Amino acid sequence: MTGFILKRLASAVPSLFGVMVLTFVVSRAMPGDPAAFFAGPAATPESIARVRAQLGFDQPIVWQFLDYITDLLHGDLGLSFASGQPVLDDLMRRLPASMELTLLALVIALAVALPMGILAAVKPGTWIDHICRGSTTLAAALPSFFIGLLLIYVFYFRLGWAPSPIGRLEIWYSSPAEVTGFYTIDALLEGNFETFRAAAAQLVLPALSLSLFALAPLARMTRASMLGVLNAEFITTATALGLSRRTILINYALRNAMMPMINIIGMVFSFLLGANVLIEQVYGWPGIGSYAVEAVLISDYAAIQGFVVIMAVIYILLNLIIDITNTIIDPRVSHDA
Amino acid sequence: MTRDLSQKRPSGLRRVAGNLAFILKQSPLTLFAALIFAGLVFVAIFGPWVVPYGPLESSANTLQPPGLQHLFGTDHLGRDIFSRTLVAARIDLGIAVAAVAMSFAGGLILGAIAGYWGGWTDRILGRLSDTIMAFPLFVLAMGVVAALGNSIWNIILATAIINLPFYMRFARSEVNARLGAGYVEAARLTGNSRMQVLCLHIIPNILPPMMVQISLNLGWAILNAAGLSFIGLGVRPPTPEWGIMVSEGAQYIISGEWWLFFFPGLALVLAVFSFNLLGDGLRDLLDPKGRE
Amino acid sequence: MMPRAADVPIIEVEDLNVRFRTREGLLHVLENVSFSLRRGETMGMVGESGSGKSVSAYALTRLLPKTADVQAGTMRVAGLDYLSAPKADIEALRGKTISMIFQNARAALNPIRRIGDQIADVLHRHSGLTRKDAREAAVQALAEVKIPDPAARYKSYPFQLSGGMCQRVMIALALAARPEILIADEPTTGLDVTTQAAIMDLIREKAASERMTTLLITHDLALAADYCDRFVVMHAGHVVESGATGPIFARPAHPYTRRLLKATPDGTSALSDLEPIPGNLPDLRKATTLCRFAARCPHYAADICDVPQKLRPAAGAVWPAHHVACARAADLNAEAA
Repeated sequence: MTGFILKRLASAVPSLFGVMVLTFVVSRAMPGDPAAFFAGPAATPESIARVRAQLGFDQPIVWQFLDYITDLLHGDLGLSFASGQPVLDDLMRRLPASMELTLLALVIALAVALPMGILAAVKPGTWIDHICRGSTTLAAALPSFFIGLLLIYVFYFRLGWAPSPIGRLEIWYSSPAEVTGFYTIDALLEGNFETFRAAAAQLVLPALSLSLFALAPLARMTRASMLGVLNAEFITTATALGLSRRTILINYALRNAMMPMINIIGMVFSFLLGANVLIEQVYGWPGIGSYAVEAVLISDYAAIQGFVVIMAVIYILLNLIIDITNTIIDPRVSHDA
Repeated sequence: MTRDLSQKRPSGLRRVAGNLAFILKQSPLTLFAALIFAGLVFVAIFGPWVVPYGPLESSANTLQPPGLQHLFGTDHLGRDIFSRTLVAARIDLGIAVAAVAMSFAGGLILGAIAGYWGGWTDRILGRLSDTIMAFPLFVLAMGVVAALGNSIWNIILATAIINLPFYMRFARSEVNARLGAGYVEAARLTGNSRMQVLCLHIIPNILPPMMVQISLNLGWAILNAAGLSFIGLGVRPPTPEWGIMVSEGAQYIISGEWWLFFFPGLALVLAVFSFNLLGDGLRDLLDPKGRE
Repeated sequence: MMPRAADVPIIEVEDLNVRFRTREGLLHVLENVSFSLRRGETMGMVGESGSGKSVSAYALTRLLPKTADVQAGTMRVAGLDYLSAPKADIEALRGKTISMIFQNARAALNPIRRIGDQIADVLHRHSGLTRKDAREAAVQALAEVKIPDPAARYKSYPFQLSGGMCQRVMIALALAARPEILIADEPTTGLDVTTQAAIMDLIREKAASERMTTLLITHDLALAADYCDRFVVMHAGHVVESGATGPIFARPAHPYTRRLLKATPDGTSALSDLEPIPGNLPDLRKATTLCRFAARCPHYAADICDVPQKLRPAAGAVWPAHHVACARAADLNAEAA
């Protein structure tokens, strides 16, 4: 198993390297002069040149890249222009917020999409199939930012059910002591149900908006892979041998359909982390997505690079988890590897 | 007396027509989508001439709710939201079509090359698309627009880049799957060059499945472009564009003026919805076995 | 006097009609198919692919897809009248009373479940054994189909076994609940000749020891001749000839059966002696009681042949149960003599 993991990790290295090169190039192509920014508004051309030398920006581009890679390998993602803090600290502080939101959205989406896709596959061509198809197509057509605003209008402005859509907790609550970084879980660990309720209430609308985005691919993939498996010969065998419908659906069909579904769930998770950007913007969520938007808008390139590298690492780890899960589900995978 | 089943099969064209009728009958949704699509195209072409007000024309009637005079109400500058929403169709559809056309052309060429020549070309292009896909795509698009400058052209380019790998992979696998096909072998054996085989025999055959990809992709491209302008990249006010209009309208939600963000958002939903439905319909048309 | 149990057919099918609704129109896949099996006998069902032999078998287990429209004059299996029995009762026969083995055993087995567990599933379902007892019985079942080291093999997955081994597992699976009827659908296609013989011997041995009724579906006349007491020949959804193995081989009455025999290697003929059957299967979109072999038949005569076909006793047959559906059977027989 260790060998398998190492092999998979090694195969991710070229991708990771490619991501770094691309990020580096894109960020250097950004308009704006970071040296002028750091030197401050009263800087003279000399002081700007000095800052530039300090930052290493007077070096040839290849050296700058090597420096960048070296720093990266030491876990140094540079300083953010905007916050003046190390980018890694900024990101690590904000990552749990994004993770909490994304995971909840994924759980909501799965809770709806899995039963829907399975039912649609079990009864193809019936009304439940049409409802599944229609509603997922509609969900896929909903811009997350628009739905976010619509939910705010309805549940906050009209009905008054939701708390004000700004951040992870309303200002009169203090955040729970950090253990996992997930406010809901940390509040529960503290035994503080009031804070838990408040944090959960803040989460609901953004998580719902985000989950709509994931609904369509998940439900469709579930339907497609279930349908594929249900038409497989071994399902005919199981039926001919008189196994119960329950056993056939759960032990035979669903387990076989899991493999493509696990892959899609992984893909959807990383898509969601990206789609977060707009939702975090709408709900004032202090996650890495809104951090990235701000960084892009002011050409804060250490921050952009840092964000992209973190996302790429998450993406690679995610793929590793998917591979390992597949090995556990499907005996053929580890046999081939 | 029928001797052979194959002789009695309806011709290709008649089969497609038959399938079309079958699909429209099976799914009225596809018909509905086709109607919306036709309407959108009409508005995109003739919008500026049919709207009741100029899209940039402001008036003293600010923040009017929807009514007879202003179907969708007016915004904070007294502009008619109905007119602005209709006129915006051209720019939103334009961006999406241009972006998808670019990624289609680029993806088809690169993917076909990778699939046909294999070896190192394939490996390098495969890595390239892996790399692009390892990014959160929307953030990559943001980065591209931020780096290259804030313009409509760069929005198109950014959207094209993030869509590229999907077309590349698709074209690659389709080409690969056809390499062993009889007609490809036959074309090669009758003395066609590799380029001729690829351009005259393989590519025409992978166009239909790629059309499906295109129509499914158009909706996504619109969402992407609107998302970029929503956060302030690309198209700039006062240009009427759905993403910006939603973003401008967002400020008025907490004072209850819902129509500012609602109608352009709804237009966006309708456009994407109809593209997706059409894409599904097209897939059923081309691949009758795709859905049981 | 009551008829002896052995004389009452365990499978009785009369005028079975199966139609498939497709985009290209209604396909008349089976038309007025009749056959019956007595308890303990082995009957072959022979024909080219597409002749409807598998459809007949699937109709017996109600495994046809929803697009199939099944009508019959009589259809009785193990005392259950399919025309009046509730669907659930018919489905309850599967695995316990009537079981199947399939052509491609590897694809017919669940790819990600241990083979022993798959057998245990069937035992648990039909024999009322606890999970634990079912596991032990599954090892025994593997031993009975002569799988070496059954306790270790229990843990294997289908991809780890050879095609012949998979077919043995399939047989163990099908016979686990000691069914009264076994339908073997091309059980040896794709296996090499020695494995073929071993598998067929295993089926025969099991059938004999359990006094099991066996329906062997095959395109291989030689195989049917070796293992069946009787067989029916099918062509394009019609039964064209039926009778005991000896008489049919000695004096095939239908032109199609003759062509089939000439296309079958018998061990003494050279490859060049084998004659392929010209033409393809006819268009099944037209319902007809006329001869569907006419277009391919060398003896076709418009004035004689274009009449509704029915199975009639074959002319000059010693064995009274030898039936043929050919208007010219009598004069062809005279010609041959």
